Amino acid sequence: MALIEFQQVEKIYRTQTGRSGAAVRDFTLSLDKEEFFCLLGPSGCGKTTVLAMLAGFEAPTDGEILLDGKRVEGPSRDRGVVFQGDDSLYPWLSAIDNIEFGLRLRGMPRPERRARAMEYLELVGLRGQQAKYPPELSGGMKQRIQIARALANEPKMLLMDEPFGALDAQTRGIMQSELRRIWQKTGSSVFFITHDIDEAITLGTRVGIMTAGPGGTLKELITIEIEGERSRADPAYVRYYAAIQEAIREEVEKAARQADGEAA
Amino acid sequence: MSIERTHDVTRPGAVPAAGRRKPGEITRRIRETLPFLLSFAALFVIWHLVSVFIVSSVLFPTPAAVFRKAYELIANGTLINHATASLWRIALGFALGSLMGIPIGLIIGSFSLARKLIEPWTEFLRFIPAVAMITIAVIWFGIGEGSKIFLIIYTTIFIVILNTAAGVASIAPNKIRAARALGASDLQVFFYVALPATVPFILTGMRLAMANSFTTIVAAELISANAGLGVMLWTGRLFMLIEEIFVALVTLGLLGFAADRLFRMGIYRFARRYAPVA
Repeated sequence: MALIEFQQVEKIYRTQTGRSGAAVRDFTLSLDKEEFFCLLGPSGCGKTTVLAMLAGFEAPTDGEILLDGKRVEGPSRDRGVVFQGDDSLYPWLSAIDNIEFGLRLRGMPRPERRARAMEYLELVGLRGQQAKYPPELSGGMKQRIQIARALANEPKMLLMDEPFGALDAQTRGIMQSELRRIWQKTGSSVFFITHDIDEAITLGTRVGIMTAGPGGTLKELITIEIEGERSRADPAYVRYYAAIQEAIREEVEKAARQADGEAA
Repeated sequence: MSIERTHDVTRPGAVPAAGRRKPGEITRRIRETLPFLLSFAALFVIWHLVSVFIVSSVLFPTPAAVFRKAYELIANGTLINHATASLWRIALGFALGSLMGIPIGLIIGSFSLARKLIEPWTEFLRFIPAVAMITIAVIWFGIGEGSKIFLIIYTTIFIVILNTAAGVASIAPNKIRAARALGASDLQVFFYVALPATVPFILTGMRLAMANSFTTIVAAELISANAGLGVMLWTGRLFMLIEEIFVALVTLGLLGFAADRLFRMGIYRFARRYAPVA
């Protein structure tokens, strides 16, 4: 059985002027355990809405999302979330206390949760930084804390909403290979949102491309079959890149034409 | 393709000015507080110059005369008596006002129905200055401590409510979402996320309320009281005791300054993580 199933999921927002618009429509997808799924699409296509519904922050207006065959109703600790910005960290807690947060919520005894949090601190490569507070950490370190915080809670899957989007190119590259290493080591299931084709090919076992918004849906699914480390010099990588870029370009152009049509 | 090495990183001694001694801790402290102290001293120097050379009137005593008077009033216990009367009222009213204002602010900020129900009251009452309430306070609670405490509570509570509610409203939604995805219940979100995230706003509100309390207490004591710095000002006016008036004014300035410093020190010591800017 699949870990996650989206069944014809649709989300319609009502705007303040009373007009309603679809953010996502007819979205069907199933994800397996230990898959690293990257959802790729132009901005405004509704990919963040898909993640918000999977996390349970927002309810679909139609269709349903199943986790292990059970309907998703609201957020819960079997879906850990890593956000793009650092505003989800708690600046009044030290790095290690941030990582422990979920464990504290369920009343795990202090020595036990401290030990587990230290393991994950080490896993994300932040050994020795446990006493620092978020404002004292760099952007990349803060994202590492977010990842450790989500993983320490041992969720069934990890949802990541452009987690490296705000980082500089150097740090982003490092974080991508770190995340791949962590994923390989922990065998987690990941649902990863990005608009960066390289990021999707570097990280994903499968890449889903969305159509242009508003009211985006899944257009294409590509399985990335490259063994081991992924290198941009690899001819297979180049082929995947070209194929994905072509699919995205059509959507971006479509979006641009729509915008022109509305402006005219 | 050729890659050229532009900098020999292995050369020893490349670190510039290594080993230069940092100035000692004491020197650093002095250097930091010196401008502050100088500015304070300058205040009295200018005051002295103005009262001796420019105004030169019995109505504007020199700082030396004022300090002499202050010493006299401290020695016979009058100043301490008045100052503690005022401070005690401020402390009690401020503490009670904050204790009532914080929960109300949290409720207003957390529930939109509560906001709609309570806000008309707070938005109406906070525009009636505490000073305008003095007469009614005296009629209701008498000329004793009751009316003063009431007025300080009144002047404190709305500013604390307003800041607390604004603090709750400005919590980043991702902080709450993250907690929910980690398994937090409503109650846990409130105590582990909303409350600590609001602390800086609460403290700011309290600091502003503290300043207001000083204004209000003087006004209240001017109208009716047996002791207090306001009383000192009033009797000073009745009997033309210019120097006593100045002693009361300087005392108010110093006490207010000290109270604010203490508050900031408290924040720095106990709540630094919550309020990195304070």
